[in-house]
Amino acid sequence: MISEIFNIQFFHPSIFYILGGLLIPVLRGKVKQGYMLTVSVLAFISVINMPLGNYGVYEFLSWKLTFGEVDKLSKVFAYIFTIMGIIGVIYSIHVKRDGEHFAAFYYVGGSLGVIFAGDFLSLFLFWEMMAFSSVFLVWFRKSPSSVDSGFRYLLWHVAGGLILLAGIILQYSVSGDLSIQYLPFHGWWPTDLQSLASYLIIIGFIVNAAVPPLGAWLPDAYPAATVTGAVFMSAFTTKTAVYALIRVSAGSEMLIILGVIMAIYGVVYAVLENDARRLLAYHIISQVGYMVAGVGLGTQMAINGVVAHAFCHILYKSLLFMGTGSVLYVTGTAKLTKLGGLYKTMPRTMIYTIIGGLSISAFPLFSGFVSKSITVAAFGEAHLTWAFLALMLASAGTFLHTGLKIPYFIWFGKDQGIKAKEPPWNMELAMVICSLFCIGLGIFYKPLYALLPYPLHFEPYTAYHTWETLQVLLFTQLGFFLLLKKLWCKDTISVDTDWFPRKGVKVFMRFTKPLANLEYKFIGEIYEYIIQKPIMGVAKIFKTIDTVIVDGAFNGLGQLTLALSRKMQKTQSGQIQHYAMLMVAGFIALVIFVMVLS
Amino acid sequence: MEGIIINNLDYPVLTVCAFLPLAGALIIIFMRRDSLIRWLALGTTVATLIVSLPIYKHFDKTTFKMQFVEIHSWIPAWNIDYKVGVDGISVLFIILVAVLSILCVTVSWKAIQTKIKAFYISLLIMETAMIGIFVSLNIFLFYLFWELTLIPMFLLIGIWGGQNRIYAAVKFVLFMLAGSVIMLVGIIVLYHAGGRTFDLLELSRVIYPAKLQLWLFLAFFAAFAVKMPMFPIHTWLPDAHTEAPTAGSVILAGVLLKMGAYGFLRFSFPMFPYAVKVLFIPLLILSVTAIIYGAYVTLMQKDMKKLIAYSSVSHMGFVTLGLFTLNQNGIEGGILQMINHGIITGALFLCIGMLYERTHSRMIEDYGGLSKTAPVFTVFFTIFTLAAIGLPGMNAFIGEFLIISGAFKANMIIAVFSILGVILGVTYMVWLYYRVVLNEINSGSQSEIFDLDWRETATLVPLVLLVLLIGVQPDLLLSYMHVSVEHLLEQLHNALHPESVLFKESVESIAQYIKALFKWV
Amino acid sequence: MKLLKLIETIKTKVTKKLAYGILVLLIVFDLIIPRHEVHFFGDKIPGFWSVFGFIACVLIIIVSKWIGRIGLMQDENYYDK
Repeated sequence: MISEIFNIQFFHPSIFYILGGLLIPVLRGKVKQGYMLTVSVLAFISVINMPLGNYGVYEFLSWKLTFGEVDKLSKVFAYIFTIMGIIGVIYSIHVKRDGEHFAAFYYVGGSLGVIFAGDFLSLFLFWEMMAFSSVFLVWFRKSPSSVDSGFRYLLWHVAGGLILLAGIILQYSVSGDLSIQYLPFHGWWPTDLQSLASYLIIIGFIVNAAVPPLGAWLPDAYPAATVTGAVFMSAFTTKTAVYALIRVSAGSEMLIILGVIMAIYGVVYAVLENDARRLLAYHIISQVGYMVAGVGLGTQMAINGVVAHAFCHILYKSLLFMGTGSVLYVTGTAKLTKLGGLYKTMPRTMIYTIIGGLSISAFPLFSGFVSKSITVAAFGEAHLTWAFLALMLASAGTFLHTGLKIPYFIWFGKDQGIKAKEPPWNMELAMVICSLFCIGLGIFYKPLYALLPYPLHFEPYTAYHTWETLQVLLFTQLGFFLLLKKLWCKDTISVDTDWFPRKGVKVFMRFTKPLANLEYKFIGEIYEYIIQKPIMGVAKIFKTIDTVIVDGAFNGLGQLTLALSRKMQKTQSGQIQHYAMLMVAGFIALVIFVMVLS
Repeated sequence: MEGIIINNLDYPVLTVCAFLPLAGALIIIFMRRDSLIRWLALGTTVATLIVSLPIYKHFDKTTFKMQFVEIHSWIPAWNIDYKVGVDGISVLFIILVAVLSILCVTVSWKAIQTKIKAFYISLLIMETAMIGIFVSLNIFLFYLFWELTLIPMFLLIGIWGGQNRIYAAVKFVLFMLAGSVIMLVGIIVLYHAGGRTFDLLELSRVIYPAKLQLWLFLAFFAAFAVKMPMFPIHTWLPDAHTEAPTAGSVILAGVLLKMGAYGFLRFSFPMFPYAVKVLFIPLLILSVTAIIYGAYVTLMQKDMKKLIAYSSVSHMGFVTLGLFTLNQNGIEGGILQMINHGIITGALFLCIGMLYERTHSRMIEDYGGLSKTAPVFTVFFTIFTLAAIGLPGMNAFIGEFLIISGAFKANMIIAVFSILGVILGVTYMVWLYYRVVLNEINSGSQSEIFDLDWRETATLVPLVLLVLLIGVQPDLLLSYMHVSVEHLLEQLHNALHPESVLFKESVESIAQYIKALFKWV
Repeated sequence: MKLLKLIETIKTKVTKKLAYGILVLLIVFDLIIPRHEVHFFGDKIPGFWSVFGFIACVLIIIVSKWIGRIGLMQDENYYDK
């Protein structure tokens, strides 16, 4: 219907965010708020109407750029991204600083651009756009540690982006083709030039997907981001990377192992965390691990599972970030050691967060149950037992922290007497919408399944499956309450692989002093020694020649003349008779001289 | 003669372009009113730009031959003609010089208050010399213009510069002279070895003996490497840049540095291909060293101008890397990056110059929070910072992409190190941006910061447009270069194993020359 | 507030007994539930997943604490030193 009105088939949703973002600094007050909301809704509508196919193809130098490759896979990601855009705008509509909105808009616009990119060059363009805009979501928190985190975040992403670029350039020189295509990569190490190109591209994607050991930026930056910024960030960077991995390397066994390690890694670290948002950040790593492993498996069921999981994960993860973000907003801290007993003052937020926690743990009747299970079942069907068990283990861990630990320590636990109240209406509205999605998708999951790229014959609510899940989860809860004492938090942070760059930077910067010495004292001094000193030396010699010899010569000559003339002066007596005698004598001498000559 | 296309426009476009600024300078000698002088200088530079436009309109992109050639006999005794022309490699630099010169005039409007006449005369003579370098087809003429750039630059730094200006100016001149003198020796030897002619095209056709090529290459390398500047003879650059007035820095970074690279393309590659091939790896290593060393040192700088100056060392390292990869992508990327660097670094120096005009401090710690106190400036500075980083969509990205793909074809490890250089580049630019624009407002200088007026905005706008235009449509520039670069590569690859045909004769003639020299003494 | 009163009532001892009851029921039901997809030996054993869940939870807590103790848990200002 709308496409008939506008007579446009394909309208890239990024355009709304990228061009729309430009007007944000110009508008004010309620108009600005309404405008931002309209932009995000328009982007969503443009996705609904989008037909499948290839659009936006341009010739650029000798390459073909495709900005609009639309198929079921990109469409489903676009749906959830635009929905998340709307929810994020609602959650952050109270923020006064324009820069934050601007950054968020370009961030979302960039992610949508990556989704629809049909070639690596336009993908890279939007990839970088995402990195440079999201760093501002960290920096605008304005605390010194956030500033530092932001720098590290940017550098990780730039490094990852450059590895990606190197892979793209290599791919171009090897195959001459820049279109996004399946680049098969098997094993752990590249064997030839083409596989090196694929390897570098995959690593570039992996950095954004926060796979350990390259993912340390995530738990560093996300807790340091602004309250509203973290909500955006949790949704987009990692899922765009997952999308890219699906496109390029579905079926690489390396990803299965990395994914499973990720899933457990995140869960293990999360147990140790004190900052609620850092815990959630490690959780993202765990959940994305499921997705990466699923991509590695590569079967149709697995890919379906990954996509469904990504869809639901965006919703419940942002719900969790919104809940803890609200706590941070209202109380000023997200540290579990400082919180407790908030059920009296923020009961509704507690409910929303618990809904998020139940969803992420794949509790029956919630969205995680219908999505995460697909991936796990795919592993079961493929008879990869060890992966299957490991992922189930991680599920238990997931419920342990997000379903149990966070709600318990923030809303129950020891009451620290913190003053709190429910967050502003817009934040609550966003959380309500997300909660409704989480429950709604859990019950009415068929429309979600219809969006998935491949046909899916999977029934989540079998009696067996439901019971299996309930067993795992409820007995985990038992374990939680029995070991509650061991889980009390302390004021600590965990050390992740970013230990290397962080300590490494200190070493790196220690080189700057000797380098500075090298530059200023040594190389700079070369000029002094080779040119300046010799030239000045030669100049001195010439000056000596000038003053001593030449001048001296003239001076000497002058003095000689002076002496001679003094002597001559003595002969001048001043009396005429002497002059007359001299003249006569001279005349006689002259005559004799002439006579002799002739 | 083959290989050239004689100028068939209504007027000798290249000569007019080159000497119009000089004419303007001569008129200024007789003027008294300062404001008139400024307007005349502006008019002259704008006129030069307008005069140069037909070159681009009528340029034939399908041929590698020299176009718009003008030949006049000059000193027949030594076979020196006044011969000028452009091909795909040199044509883009003319408009770069023209645009940057206009901006130099506008940015100095209020900044220069003493000896205004001399300043604009120097600037205009500089412009003539620079255009002359890029259009000369006769080595003698080339050398003349090459040396001619020294005096105005010396004056610009030495009279209107900062505190340490005399030291910086003298250092600049001495470094340049050292290189040029060695080049002069090389030119004379080349004259004899190439058949007693100074004509560039004829000299390029000669296949020189291998050893001679090596020595000549090194002789010319001395001059070009000092100009670029290549590591480790780069130390004149930070001093010259920091002490020079804004216009001087813009011209220095925007154009003068490119003359060295142009020299490689015009002389060393066609005439000494054997030497280039032999020194292939060392040259690449030297380029990468410049990239990383330059970037590393940039990180430590506390003075904004010095920071950008050292970053120029790094960026020119990229350019030389591109050139020395000896493949189409790398060389095109190198030439494109020369133009890009001229635009971006010129713009950054303009920005810093505007800040300096207000607070008279170049120290980064004296700035902060400019996003609040000078938002218009912030917008411009953001665009140029992002361009310097190499963000896709802006001009430097394409250049970097082409250079790195060329590097991958040449040598994998070198390419990897160059990527490290890009990361460092992002680091120092973002850090500078953060400290100047985002940080807390510096209370000390806050009162002095006010936003850009329309003159300053008008100075920066053309550069922004160029950044975006070239970023989105790099083919506008690259299309000029394709055929000429192809031809250059052919010349390189054909003359792989030079015959020693002329060896005996050239050695004999050199020996005769030296004997004559001794007899005379 | 109705919600608060609801939460208060849940916190009583009655709830604890109810929770334990549910757990027992879970294991009992597991004996009856039909099994469709048997991919894995554990699917056949009744009550397997209960034990799995409990042990998984305990294992994670113990392993994480151990890793934290051997050096991964540091003071908050670790990097600033």
